[in-house]
Amino acid sequence: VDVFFAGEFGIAEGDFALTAEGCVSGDISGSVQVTPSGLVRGTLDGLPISLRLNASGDVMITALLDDDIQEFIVAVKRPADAVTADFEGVWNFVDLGSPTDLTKSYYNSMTQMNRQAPSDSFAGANEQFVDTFFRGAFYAESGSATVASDGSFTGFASGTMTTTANGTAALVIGEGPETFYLNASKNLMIRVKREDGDINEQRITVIVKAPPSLSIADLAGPWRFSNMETPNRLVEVYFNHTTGQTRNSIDSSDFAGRTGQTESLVDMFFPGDFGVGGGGVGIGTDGSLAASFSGGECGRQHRRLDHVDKRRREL
Amino acid sequence: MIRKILSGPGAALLASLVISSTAFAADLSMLAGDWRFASVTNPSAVRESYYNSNTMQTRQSVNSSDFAKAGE
Repeated sequence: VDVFFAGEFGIAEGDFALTAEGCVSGDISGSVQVTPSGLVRGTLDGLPISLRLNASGDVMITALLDDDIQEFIVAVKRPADAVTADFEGVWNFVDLGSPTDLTKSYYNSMTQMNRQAPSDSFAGANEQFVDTFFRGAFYAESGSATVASDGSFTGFASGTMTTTANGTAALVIGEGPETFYLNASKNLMIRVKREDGDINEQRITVIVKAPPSLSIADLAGPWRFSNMETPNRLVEVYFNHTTGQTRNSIDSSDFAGRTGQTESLVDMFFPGDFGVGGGGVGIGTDGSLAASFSGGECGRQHRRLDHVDKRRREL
Repeated sequence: MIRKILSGPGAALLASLVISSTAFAADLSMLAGDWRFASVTNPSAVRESYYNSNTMQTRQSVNSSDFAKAGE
């Protein structure tokens, strides 16, 4: 038995110019239009896309299901200029990371030793595939930092946040700098990063600037959301040749034969669902949530191992 | 608004980004300019490959309920 991901983990980023006529050129190209309900729809790199736009017209989001992948996209309109003092204030962030590969473990019946290898490996002579697990960890972190006018900040960590060319932000926390991309309103930044090798992770970070003050009534109005959901572990199924029974792995360190009896790895599955979703909700002045508004496109799709829809779609 | 959830073993990692909508006031001239995009991609499935020692053939799983059969 062998296992592999149907698609690949990955990150992508780039620049594009959007004209008042809706022409898109740069690292992606195509054309878009704005719908009466405020969605940005069109064709980019030959594929249909539907993006959700924020009120100031400088952030777009979407989540996609493709053949064997799911993708979460954020785009920001770049500011005409920015200075370090623009960062002054309280910023809140979320950082979402996942491993990008599996490790396989093979048991050699001759040497009675286990061998661990990357996901593209195969069992050798006298080897039995007994275990697989994510190489690296899933994580979701959040926090806040207060930035001074000179760019120094304290909070979840101490460091500096300064402007660089083209309105980007350079964050230095011990090491770095890390480049974040700022929107035109200068209240949101994005970053994606991938590290292979020993670290083996990819992450997306979104940072938003907190308003100086906020009341529930300030949130009133139509809102749109996009989300992406990914299971954070695999469950393995082992067949016991003595008892004729199967059992599920209890954690990522479990493997076929751990019971001391002869077992074979016969199946594996994700205990959670993959999925992307999105839609629109209305928030009342009292904070109540209203039903989806016109053009909200509420939708959600989940799948496990089996899916047959070959058409790229936006939900 | 931004939200993240990393729930317990077996459950899912969920990211959600919520933005205030333009409602009905946006037009393309408002969006014209230079943009930066960033995305993360995850595979949405794993495939299993089974080797049948009797037929010496391999096959790939067809769905999540597929598992190794006799001889595999």
